[in-house]
Amino acid sequence: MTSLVLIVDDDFDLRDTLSDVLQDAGFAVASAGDGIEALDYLRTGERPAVILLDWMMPRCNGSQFRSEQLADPAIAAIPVVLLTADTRREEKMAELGVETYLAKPCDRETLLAAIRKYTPT
Amino acid sequence: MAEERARQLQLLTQRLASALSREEIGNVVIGQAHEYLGATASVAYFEALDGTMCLAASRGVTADSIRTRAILDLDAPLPLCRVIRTGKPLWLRNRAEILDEFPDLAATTESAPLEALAAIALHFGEHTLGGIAFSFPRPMELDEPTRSLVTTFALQCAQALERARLYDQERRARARLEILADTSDRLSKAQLDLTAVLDTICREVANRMPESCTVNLVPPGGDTLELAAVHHIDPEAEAGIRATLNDTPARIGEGMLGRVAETGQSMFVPIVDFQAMLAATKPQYRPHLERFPVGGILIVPLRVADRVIGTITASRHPSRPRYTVEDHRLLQDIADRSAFAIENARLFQAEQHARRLRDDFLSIAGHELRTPLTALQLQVETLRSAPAIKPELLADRLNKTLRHVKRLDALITQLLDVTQLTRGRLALTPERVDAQQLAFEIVDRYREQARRASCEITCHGASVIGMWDRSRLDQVITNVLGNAIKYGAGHPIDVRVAREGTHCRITVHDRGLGIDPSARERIFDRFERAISDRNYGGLGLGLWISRQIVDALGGKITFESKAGVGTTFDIALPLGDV
Repeated sequence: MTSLVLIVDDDFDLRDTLSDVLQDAGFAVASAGDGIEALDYLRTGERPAVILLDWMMPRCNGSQFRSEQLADPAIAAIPVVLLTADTRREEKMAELGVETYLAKPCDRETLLAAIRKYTPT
Repeated sequence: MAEERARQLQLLTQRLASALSREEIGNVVIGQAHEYLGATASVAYFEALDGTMCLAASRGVTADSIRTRAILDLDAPLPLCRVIRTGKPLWLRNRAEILDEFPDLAATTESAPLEALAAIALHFGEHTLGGIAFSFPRPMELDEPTRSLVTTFALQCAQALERARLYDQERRARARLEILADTSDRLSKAQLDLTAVLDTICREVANRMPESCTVNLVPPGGDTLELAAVHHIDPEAEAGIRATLNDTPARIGEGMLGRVAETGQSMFVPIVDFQAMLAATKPQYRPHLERFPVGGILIVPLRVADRVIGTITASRHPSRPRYTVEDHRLLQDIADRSAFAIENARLFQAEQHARRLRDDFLSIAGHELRTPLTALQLQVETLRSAPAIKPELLADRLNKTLRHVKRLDALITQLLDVTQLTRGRLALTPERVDAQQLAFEIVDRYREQARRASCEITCHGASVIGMWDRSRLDQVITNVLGNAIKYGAGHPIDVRVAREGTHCRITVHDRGLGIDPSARERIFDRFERAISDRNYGGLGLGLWISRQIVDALGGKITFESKAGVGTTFDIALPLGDV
């Protein structure tokens, strides 16, 4: 059975590429352009094994998304991998209750390893 | 008798030696002479700082008389007035002599009989410092030794007054220097924190020249004086002043503050027309003003070179002593010292702001470059790791890769543009360009991105040909359209190109977030953007670059915006020599 990854990123090109990479590696992929779309998906769509979350997005950013997610018991347990170019990662991760982050630019192997941590092989 | 006169003089000298104020001097001289001469009424009038002759000491004069004659009308037909006017003493030995000189005194209302009178001016060098007068209940000899004694009393009194004046002047000069030194010292300690600098100035002035001080500053490029700091020795009065002034900012050229800011000339109002001031105050603040009335006002300009950067106002209650010319000079001295401290702090703040913007920009630039770089890296790695890839899929992946490269190139071009534009003017290559055609091409280029953002773009207008730099004009329209899609996602966008006389007008109208009024001033600034929290991508340079280009093309770029309704950017370009 293929594991589903939800990609949340406002940048179309990056979202598209992440989707290509993950699909090539055998994952199923769903994508959202910001936190609001992501929450909509989580409440109505198929439950993903892991969420790949961008930090900076218009409307509803990574931090706002994460607080909403944690406040909703139905989806709070879904693990999150943070994707950010920001240098204050530790601070941000503690704030969001996130264990794994990827620094931009990241290579394919690191990306796949981070996602596989949360998906059954 | 001669011995007694000598003793009197010795006593007077002794007593005057320790008299340092005008009141003390008056009391020593009048008290001693009154008693020794056996006068019924004795008075001393000394010249005040404002030039009037004020009652300084008296004996045997009714309280009513003291009140009505506190200030001497020098034109009145009275002995002391004449003495002060002419400088010649009067020795009137009996009633006949008195009435001969001053017939009006026949009807005098003084209760004591007036049978003899002596009056003499107080001279020091060329200057008349006042006069003393004594009246007697019986005819007096007023012989030479008595006249000589009174004359000596007057002379001693004048000398003591001059000594007191010098002492007072010295004391004031010292206090003035102390205030200035203190102000300078505190200003240097306040260093470059503008709030601290202003607070220091206000406190210093309000405490040293009670009771209130306000500092108003003209923001760079502004036309209104803004309240920057206020201090009053009474906190309740301070709160009222703050509320009143915050609510009624003075425009340059209008009102007292505005005139000082416009002309650079100070305003010195020792006695304020309070009723007029009350009438000019908004009704809701009148009760406060009535509770804390203003008697005197001093307004001085804060000058840096020949610019006026603001004003300092000192004011006080009517019950306090009037402001003097010296107070005025002191406040201007304080203002001159403060102006430089304020200007330095302002420059420092502007510099800090610029540095913060640059730091933020570098961090944004890093982020912006990393996003396409991440996509590029991942795409290339995927291609490398794929064991076998179908040709059509390969073409698709290579196209995506190329798009990331182009995006990186566009970002780098923007960065290089900034460097070029900062160094000097843009080099333009004008050619015949159809603005409509160009705009439509750009819209076509954006179709895919617009579709993803759920924006439907509609083009209107007709062909307009002008002489412009094609790639630079492309850049401007691209920037404005890109913003419309970014901030107007989910709503339609209209692009319009039309000829208006000798100009071409290109408008891009979105129905998005709109630009916050507080951000409108600076959206064309470098490294600025209206959406502050950086959640929207981009370098925040697009509009700045666009404006530089439009300026170089001799045109104008403006916008109208309403929060929540949308924004219309308007680019007007001269057609040039087609």
